[in-house]
Amino acid sequence: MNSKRIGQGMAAVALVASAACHSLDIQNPNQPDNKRILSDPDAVEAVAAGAIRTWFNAYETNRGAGPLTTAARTMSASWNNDHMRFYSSVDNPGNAATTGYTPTATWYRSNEGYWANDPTRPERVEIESFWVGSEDECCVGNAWPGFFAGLSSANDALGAIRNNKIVIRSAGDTKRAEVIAELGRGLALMGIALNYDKGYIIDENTDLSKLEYSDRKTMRNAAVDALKQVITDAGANSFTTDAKWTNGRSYSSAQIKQLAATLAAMTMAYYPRDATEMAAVPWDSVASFASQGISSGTRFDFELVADGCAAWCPDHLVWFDEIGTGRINTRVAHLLDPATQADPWPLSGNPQPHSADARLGDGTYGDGTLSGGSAALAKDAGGGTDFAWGPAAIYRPDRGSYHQSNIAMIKFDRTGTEAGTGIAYGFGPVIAISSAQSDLIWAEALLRKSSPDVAKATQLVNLTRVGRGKLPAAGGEAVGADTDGPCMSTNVSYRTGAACSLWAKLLYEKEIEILGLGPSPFYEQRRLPFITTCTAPVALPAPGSVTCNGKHVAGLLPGTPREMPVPAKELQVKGEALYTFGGAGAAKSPVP
Amino acid sequence: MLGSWLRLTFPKRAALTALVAFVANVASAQNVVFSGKVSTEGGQPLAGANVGITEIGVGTVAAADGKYSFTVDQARLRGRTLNVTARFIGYKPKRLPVTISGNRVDHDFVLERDVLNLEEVVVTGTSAATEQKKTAFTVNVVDNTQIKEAPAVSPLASLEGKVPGAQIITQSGQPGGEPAIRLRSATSLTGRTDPLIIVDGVITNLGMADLNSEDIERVEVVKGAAASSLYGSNAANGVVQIFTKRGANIAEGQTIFSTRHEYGRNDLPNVVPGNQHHNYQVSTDGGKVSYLLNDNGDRQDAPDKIADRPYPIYYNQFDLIFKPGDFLTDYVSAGQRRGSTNFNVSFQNTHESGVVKQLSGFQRENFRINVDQALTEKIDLGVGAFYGRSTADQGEFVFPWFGLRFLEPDIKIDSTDAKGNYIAAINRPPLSGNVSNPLYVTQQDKNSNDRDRFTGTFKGSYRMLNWLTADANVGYDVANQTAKAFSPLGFTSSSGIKSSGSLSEQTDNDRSYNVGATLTSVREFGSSIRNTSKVAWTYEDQTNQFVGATAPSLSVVQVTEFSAAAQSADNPVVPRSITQQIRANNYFAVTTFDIKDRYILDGLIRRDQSSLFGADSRSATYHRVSGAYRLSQDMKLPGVDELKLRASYGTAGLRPPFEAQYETYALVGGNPEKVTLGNRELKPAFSKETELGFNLNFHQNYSLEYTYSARTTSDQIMQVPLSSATGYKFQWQNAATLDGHTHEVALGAVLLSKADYFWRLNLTADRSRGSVTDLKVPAFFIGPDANTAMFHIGKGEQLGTIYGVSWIRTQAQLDETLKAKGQPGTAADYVLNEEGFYVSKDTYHTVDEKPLKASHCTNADCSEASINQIIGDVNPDFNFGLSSNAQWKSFTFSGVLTWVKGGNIYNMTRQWPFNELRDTVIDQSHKPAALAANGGPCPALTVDPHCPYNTGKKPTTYYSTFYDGINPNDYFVENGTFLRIRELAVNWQLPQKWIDKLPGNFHTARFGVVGRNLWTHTKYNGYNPDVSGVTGSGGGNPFVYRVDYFQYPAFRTFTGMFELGF
Repeated sequence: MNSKRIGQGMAAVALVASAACHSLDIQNPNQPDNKRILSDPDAVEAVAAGAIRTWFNAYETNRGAGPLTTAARTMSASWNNDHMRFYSSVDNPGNAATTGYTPTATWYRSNEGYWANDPTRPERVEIESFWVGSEDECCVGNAWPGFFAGLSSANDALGAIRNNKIVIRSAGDTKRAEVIAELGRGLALMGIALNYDKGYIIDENTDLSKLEYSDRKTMRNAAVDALKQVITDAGANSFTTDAKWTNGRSYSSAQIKQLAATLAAMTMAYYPRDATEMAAVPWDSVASFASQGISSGTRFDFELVADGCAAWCPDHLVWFDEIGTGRINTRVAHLLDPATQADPWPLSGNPQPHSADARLGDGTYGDGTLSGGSAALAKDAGGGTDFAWGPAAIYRPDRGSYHQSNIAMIKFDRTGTEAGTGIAYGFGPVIAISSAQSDLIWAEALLRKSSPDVAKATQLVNLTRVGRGKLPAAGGEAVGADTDGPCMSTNVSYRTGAACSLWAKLLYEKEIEILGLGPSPFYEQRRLPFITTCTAPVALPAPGSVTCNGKHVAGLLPGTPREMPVPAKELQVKGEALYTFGGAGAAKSPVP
Repeated sequence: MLGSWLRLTFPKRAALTALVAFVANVASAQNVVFSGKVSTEGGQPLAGANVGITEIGVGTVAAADGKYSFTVDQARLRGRTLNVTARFIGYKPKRLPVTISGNRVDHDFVLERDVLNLEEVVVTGTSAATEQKKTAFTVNVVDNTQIKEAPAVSPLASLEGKVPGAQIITQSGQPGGEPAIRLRSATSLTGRTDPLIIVDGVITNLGMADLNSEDIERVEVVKGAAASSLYGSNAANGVVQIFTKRGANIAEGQTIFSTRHEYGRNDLPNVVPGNQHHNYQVSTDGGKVSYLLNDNGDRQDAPDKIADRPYPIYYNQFDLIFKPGDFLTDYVSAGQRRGSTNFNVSFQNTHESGVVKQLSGFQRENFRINVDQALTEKIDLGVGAFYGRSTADQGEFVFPWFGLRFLEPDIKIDSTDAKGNYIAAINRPPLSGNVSNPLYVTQQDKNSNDRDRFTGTFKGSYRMLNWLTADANVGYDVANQTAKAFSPLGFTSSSGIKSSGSLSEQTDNDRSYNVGATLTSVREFGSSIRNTSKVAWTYEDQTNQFVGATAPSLSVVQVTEFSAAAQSADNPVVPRSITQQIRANNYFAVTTFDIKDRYILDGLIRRDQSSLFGADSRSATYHRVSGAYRLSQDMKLPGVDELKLRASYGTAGLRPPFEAQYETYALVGGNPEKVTLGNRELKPAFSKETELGFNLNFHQNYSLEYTYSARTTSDQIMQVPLSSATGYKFQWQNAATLDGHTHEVALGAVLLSKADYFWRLNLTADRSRGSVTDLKVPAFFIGPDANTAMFHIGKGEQLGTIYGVSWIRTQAQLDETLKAKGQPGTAADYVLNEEGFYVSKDTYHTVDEKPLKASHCTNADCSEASINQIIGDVNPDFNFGLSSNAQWKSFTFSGVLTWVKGGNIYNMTRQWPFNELRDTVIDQSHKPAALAANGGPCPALTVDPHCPYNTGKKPTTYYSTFYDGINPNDYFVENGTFLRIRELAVNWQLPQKWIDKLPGNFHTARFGVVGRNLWTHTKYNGYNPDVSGVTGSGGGNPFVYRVDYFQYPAFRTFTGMFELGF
């Protein structure tokens, strides 16, 4: 009897158990895995294309570009979003609490000038995220992981195509994807070579368990080699990219070839960490690549379409193409209109400009109500195309007037109104690499190469100087040198007040035209000599500081890091010692 | 034929299995009839009391007049001596040893009040229902009597101050919000530490905000692995088991209807005012004071930068933003026991407006029914169903709580435009655009959160043999939640920037069920050993489905649906969905020996298999060994009624999140992008806890419980970064070990116990500490938000330690800073100012005076130093709770007071506004005006740079130094000590003769007043010291990463109550 009842009970339990028990091996339906991705031809194509998007987001992330361009004193922001204020702060800028900038003050970056590549600091200073997951990050995190994520995608696609012989519909489409993956690899390697002192050169056959660092020079060469491969392969094939790969823009194989040439020129031209390294740049090659670039033949800008950071995220422009947030540095504002835009940082702010440069003009913009009156002057016939003036001091002066000018960039706001559908909110077309940028690198190379071509360089400078700025054409002046520092819109040198050389005009165009193109302004400034208005500069009193009875016209302030170290997170993951650049320490790694 | 067994009480039996398991009145020619009456010492019948014979599992329930009767087949009695026991909740049970010699046993039981609830029976974590005095680990109980006087809107809040070792914190005072709870020390570095919650057998992973406290019959709490091993891989945080009313305590044949109504108000007990004086130059024209603007239209600092100038006009903004809100709750229930059936059905309607004008708050309607039915002599069934619906509008972070802190007092926030919209553009340079008009924001932005919740329970029991029972249960839980956020086209920031609006809607459809089967054996070996053993199997199955879409831009005004979305490639509507299937299959066996009624030995083993573990680590095993010795059974100590020593060691786990084990790519813009490197070996976190303690009951009216818990939680589940070369961002790994220690004390005292007087006090106190003992990844900082990553996670670090900058306040700090060359010169170059900070002597009493950062030597000779150092610790010295129930004739008084002693709060809500000079400390108007030597006003600073500051007035730049880019510094580390009256209720029971005169058949009527969060004493500067930031990755652990971060503050509620029973 008892055993019968027990049996009944057990049977009931078994019945319930069998009814309820399902397999514990559950697939994740939400995200694909490597196996599913790399065995699907369409997915492999998407991985290849994704390398472009990943690079774009890493290149345009404000976490990377913001601190760089503000430290280069091309952009400015009083906020510490993305740690811009920390990295753009200048020690001892006179008595800011009372009189503002004092030209006679010692003006330097010291302790706070180095990259705080140290996760033991709780302040918001990290140049790459440490352990806080995806917080306060754009897109793929920051530049280092972003570039490597792009490189990884490119290699995955190349491995699937070359090693696993995945065919994407047809041989043509397969080759197209392969070339795009090669481009993604080149872009990623370029980003690493320009930003960091070292990195990893990885291709589809690399054993990731045996990774070794390569120095920045080797990284640069690898980037150029990858881009050369794109030039070769894009030239040997004919295709048009899918518009969705760049969210709304298609490019022909010929244009991809041109783009790769410009990128190769950029990689070599922007590589030097300071003026002393400029001599080692193969300027003939730069000129050659640039001559085949996106400003040669049928000009075009390498443009993508942002979608509010859902996938395409130019948040550097979100910050710096809106009059109520980031603004250009007073150094650049002064170049645009020296008569009205004092540099640096008058506590009272700078009045409405009347620049000879049509890119600023009288600074009017929009309907006059934008940003609650920050751009209170409604646009009139004198309004500029690239810049607007806002009367409002958008932060307390004692918080750091030296960070903020009254001039904002509005160049990429194609709505003309900072509308919510425009770049101020992360929407719409974004130029990543402009034809003007290619022109200006080309012009520089023409002036620096073994047999300079002044006429062609002058012609290239005038394309924007006259074409967009409506300034008197360059031509006939002294060629000069990069030590001349930039010209101003008034056609006189900021440094000397004398008539501008061709070099000064070229540098002016670079100051104006390259703003907003990712970290490019930093790459430009770091390789210029430190130029001041000092009539008799005195010796630097200590590493990372300068005493100068004058204004600082161009180049990076002493103490400013010239490149980024490998981020702490990467070093710690590998159990390596932390290091950094800038401040009182070395500003860069030794020349490889 | 079925006789009195049909009157069994299934739920009571669930709780009282060890005593009165079943009724078995088998009709027989040799039946023995047991009958009598159960009453109180005062002669009141105890309707619903259980009377039965434990050894053979028979019994019945007393009727409304206290009388009982049941029959037993004499053959089952076998001529031995047995115990007839009478038991009723809140009374000490009584036993009557009987040797059957006839066919009738008549006995009346008079039960004494069990004022300390020492005879209470618990089921959580035990092998079967067990009297508290025989448990080998702590099981805390909060029953309906401790909840019903001031039932909290959220059930978890009802535990506040009543359970030692249970910390409850208000992450947001948002009406409808749910507090966070942590039992003992932390078990997780970065994740939440919520205990496993079981409601009527339903393992619920879907939150508690839907439940109402009035339905709760009893809550049992076990606080760690030493007790919770029974629940395996999801129980290292402890278990909270909730039992809802089932009509089980109602007398046979009785039907009880009751209604309870509360109406009252929510109000904000305090506001946080800002600086009432400014520092700008003004001009006076015809008596009208206005700011002096520069050519650009910006306000200009006065040269002395002292904020002691009155604003041209003042508005009482707080009265416009906040308003007392309505609070009402209506609760109706009906319960009945009749024959083989008992049930309880209830309905509750709650509305809580909160304290923000233009937000309507939280509205909830709940319906619950529980029914128990004895089908046959050996089979019982119980079913239950709950449906709740709620809606809440939201007013959380940034808007309006953030922007509000930046308001200057002369901004008229209730100005409207021609359309009746409040004015948005209120920012005035040179202050930044952080300010916002809360009236505009709450008027324009619409955020809502609607929830539907259904829970179904089924349980059955089959008594196969006298000593063997099979139980089965099924729990089903569904929650559907729709959250919608709408910002209209043209929404304007305080800087005047018009946005294109946005719309986001997301729906979570989550459902889970758990199935369990149990075999329970209760055997006696000889006269001195009783063994209870159980083998069980449980299966859990959960499906979470999320569907959402966001339109980042709208093209139509005043349309709140996706038809208004701007449809373009630049502004795409972004859809998203997630499906998660989670399963677990678990087995356990547990056995408990009760030897001579004084030695308790317990052991269990449990094997869990979960789909959440890595594919190569599908199983995990847990165990427990525990014992108790009732010393007082062997040794009589003066005044000691009961002394029990106990020790328990157990293990339990914490499961990984769904996605943790998988290799994942994100599909971003249609492109796959590597995110997580999968981990097939990912295991649950593994917690080992040793619990030691004693229970002492003395002088009949006092109880003391002390418990020490030491727990180690290894295999912490963490996101571990990988080399970027891999392309993956991170991998979930078992990467850290966390130690925790907790001391808990609970003291119960019945200070008065007479027929008309009763006063009981319960005191609880606890202290917990946790530290990282192993970390397989480099140390890192974390916080509830990216801006507040100030909590250091490193090997050897105590959890909750705040790092940041210290300002030099002491001579020792100054000396160390100078030694570290953090400041130049010698000590003679510095002076201590009126506010306790060392400043440069050159700048003292000038416009350039500023506090200075202290350096901290990090090696012996101070050749290495840092400005970063420990600046705070969020861990309280101890938590203290005092709850009291008192009765004086027809009045009852109950209250809960909590005291959090020590522990820091980082006040970010104060720091951020320092940048815009909005804190009251920046207001210098209360300091005497400085005068020149000749008694006249101070001359220009160029003439005398000290004069304006000689009376201690400081410039705004002095104070804005503390802002420091919202980096953590000790100026904003505040003492989190607070004393709070959480609950206070005073009720009056109408005299029976009055009740008898009421229309209808009422048997009780009570009126009262109820206060919640009634009074708080604290020196904390924010709205509310019971606070912790909620956003971000570290926000999951609000007890460890405690930052005040612009949350909706907890508010006060004061209501009137009336209650009717009939």
